[in-house]
Amino acid sequence: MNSVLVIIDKAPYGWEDAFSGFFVEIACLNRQMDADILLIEDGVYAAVDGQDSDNIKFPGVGELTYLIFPEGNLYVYEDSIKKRGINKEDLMETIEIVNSKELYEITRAKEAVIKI
Amino acid sequence: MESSPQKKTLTIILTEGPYRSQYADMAYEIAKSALNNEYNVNIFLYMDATHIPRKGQNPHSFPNVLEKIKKMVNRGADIRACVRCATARGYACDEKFPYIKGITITSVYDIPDWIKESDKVLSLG
Amino acid sequence: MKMEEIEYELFENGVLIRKAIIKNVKPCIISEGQISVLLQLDKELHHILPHLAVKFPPGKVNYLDKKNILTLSIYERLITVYPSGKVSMNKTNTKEESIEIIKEICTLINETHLEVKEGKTADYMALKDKLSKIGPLTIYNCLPQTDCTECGETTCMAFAMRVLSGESKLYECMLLHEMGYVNNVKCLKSSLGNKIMEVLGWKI
Repeated sequence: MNSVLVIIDKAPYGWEDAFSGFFVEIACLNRQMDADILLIEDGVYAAVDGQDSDNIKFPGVGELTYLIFPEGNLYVYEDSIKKRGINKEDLMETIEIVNSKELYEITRAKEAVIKI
Repeated sequence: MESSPQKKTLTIILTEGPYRSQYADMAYEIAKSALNNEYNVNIFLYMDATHIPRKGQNPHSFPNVLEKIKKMVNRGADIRACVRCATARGYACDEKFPYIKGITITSVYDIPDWIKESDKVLSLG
Repeated sequence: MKMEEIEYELFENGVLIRKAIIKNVKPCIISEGQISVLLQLDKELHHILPHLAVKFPPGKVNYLDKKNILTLSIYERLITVYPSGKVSMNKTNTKEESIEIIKEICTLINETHLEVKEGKTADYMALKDKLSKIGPLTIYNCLPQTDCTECGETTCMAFAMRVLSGESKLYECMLLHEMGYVNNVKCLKSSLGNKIMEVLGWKI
């Protein structure tokens, strides 16, 4: 299988999942795979702009998006940001917002879908 | 001349530790079924799942997850743990190997390598 | 553990960009042994990017309209320029190399900024539209079609494809500089227009 979608549904700085999920994405891109990330539910917090985790000494996840994009895409589910009161302008420029139909098409187009 | 059909491969990625959640037990059932159906089975232990193969577990009321891991190893499943996650949790650099026999500690790059060669990929956690 | 951010002065009197800060250096994920650098320029680039996108051959450009993000395949690496002024660059060897390259790019950004300020930029929507409709045949039809190979390619069609992808420049066709081929040059000018001729490597 050569294409993969990595789904992250937990918020960073509360769970290791976002950071570790980004690592899996980077490993897949390194192996020349078509690999994208989907942030859904609390995972959408990883896409918020202006993250600065220096004080709590945990690795930042925001700047990792610049390492992933444009080779890999970062998708954020529209419904999840609406529920949480996050606006389009609050997100990083490397992010693409997708609705249910687009989400369906993206998932359908991938050979492997994993959730970290 | 008929060539034998190539064996299919199933890869399971686990991310949660044992006992609080039962993903390891679920993975065992799925892997058992796959092995019965002549599949190659790969299991990647990521994040808290690196606690699963630790030696010396002794749960009081719950089934011992180590027994299930041992059975899978004996039947030829390839079980690997992420070095970054294992080291963080205190497993990699011991003099005495911290896990039961048959577990390898490797890098996260095994995930894409395994996905490439698999027919089915499942993540549980 | 965050690395110290280093500020570099690029142009003392730059019309738009004067400084660049290296925000992050990470191992390049697609090229072992090389690095990926994330820089922040000292001004935003919203107004510049669409005009910058039409200054490169189509094969070297990936411009995301909706997000106003420009990715260029130049200097043997991928350089992504964001409206916030962030620039990411992969397949790089050293921080110093990234600064050398960012200086070249900022020279072009500053030039473009001046053009925008003075109202001298071409209608980028029309240019973009035209660029997307040009295929190798558009160029091939105006070439001498002699397959003389002086440009280094085996056929004129191969040369036309390389011009579009940005690997060759129009001026590399030796015959186009000769008196007998003035009509070919006219044909190119009328099919492509002066702006696109320049983008594809013809000196007007």
